[in-house]
Amino acid sequence: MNMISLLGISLDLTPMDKTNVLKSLEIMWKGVLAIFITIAIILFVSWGINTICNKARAAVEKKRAEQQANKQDGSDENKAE
Amino acid sequence: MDLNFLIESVSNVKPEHVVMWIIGGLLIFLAIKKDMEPALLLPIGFGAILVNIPLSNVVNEVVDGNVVASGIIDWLFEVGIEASEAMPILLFIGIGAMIDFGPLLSNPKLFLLGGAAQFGIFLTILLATMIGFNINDAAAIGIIGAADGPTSILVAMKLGSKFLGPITVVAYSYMALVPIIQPAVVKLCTTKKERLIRMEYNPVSVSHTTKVLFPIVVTLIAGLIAPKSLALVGFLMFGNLLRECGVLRLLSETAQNILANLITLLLGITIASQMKAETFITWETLLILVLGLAAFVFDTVAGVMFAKFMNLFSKKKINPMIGAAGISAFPMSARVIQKMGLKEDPSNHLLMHAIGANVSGQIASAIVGGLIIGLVLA
Repeated sequence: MNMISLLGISLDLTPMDKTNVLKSLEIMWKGVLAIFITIAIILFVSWGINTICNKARAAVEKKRAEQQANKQDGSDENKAE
Repeated sequence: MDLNFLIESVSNVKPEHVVMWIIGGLLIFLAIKKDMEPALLLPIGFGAILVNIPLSNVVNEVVDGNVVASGIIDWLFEVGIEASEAMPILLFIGIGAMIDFGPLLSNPKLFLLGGAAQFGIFLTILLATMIGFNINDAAAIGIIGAADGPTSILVAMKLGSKFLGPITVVAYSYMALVPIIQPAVVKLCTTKKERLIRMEYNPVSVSHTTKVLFPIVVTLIAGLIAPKSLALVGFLMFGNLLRECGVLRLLSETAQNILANLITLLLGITIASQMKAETFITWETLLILVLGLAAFVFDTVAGVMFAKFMNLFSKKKINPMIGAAGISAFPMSARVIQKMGLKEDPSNHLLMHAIGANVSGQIASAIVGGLIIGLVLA
């Protein structure tokens, strides 16, 4: 018996065709699962990298701004003396 | 005086050769007059005429199954595609160098649309097996839905499909027809209200370090999960690294222009070696034409539906049309969505979002190509 039922449609297939259809269903669920896992990992890793890089850049810029301000204060004090 | 040699070739012309000349002429016409993927359809069309002239020395001369003299087009195919899939893979360096992943990195959830828009590939594989294609041919046909010529060529070659010629021609033809296929399908599966959804473009700043690390990270992740995709993904990302590193401007420009153009030029005429009348004019070619269209339609529907699904959980609504740009016909699909958005509301600019989904589709289709090779050959 080589009848298989897909979404309510019954198909009468040769044993070879049935093997191919079942294999394609296997490829479908495994493929869809694998692509979403891969994409999800890439999404989280790239988001994480960008967030860390942006925070690091913001911290460096803040530090630079503070150093600049300190330098400015120092030169103002020197001038006042 | 024996002048038979003058009509030797003419007397060997069969009706199927003439049909192939007409097909070749049609491809050249579409390339020149309709501007449909001219860089590929023109060389393919000319090649189709070239390889279907009897007794020509551009194809191998075979006597009793043995090659007695090599032809240049068959040689190009054997060396450039059959032996190592070098041409489609090297073309990916150029494609990678052309792509700016910035819009995607500034809105990473668009990655999901690129993944979703590959679903049509799997559905087409199922459909093809139900029609009676064996699993290798069905998988090679399904990958037409990747909307990516080099990936289609690579998968068909790796799986040993005898339909490489029709698959390539169909893939490139439908890629050129994206502006006709996608708007109709998108309109069918969205409402006017959905098409009017506005998406603000407030990009998160993407650092240079992220842009440099991204191709390396994608290569590692794709390589570890789907090693069979590494030839495509790895070379795509190598091209992108050349672009983003900032110290190899000349190499990046060479990859984008000279390398990509040179390979495209040779790829088209090389593919023609698979367009010999005896293997091309079959009922299967017509079926591949229909299945290829199905793959593009299913992919577009899947992308749109997934965008709608994401809207169920998201406060900031996504215009579902963006999902259709998840197929990897880059940048045509993104432009089509931008045009559709502007047609609905002239102040609704969707281009950057669509490009994000589109480049995500470029990565996803290469990964899916590798996954399918691995799953079929497992």
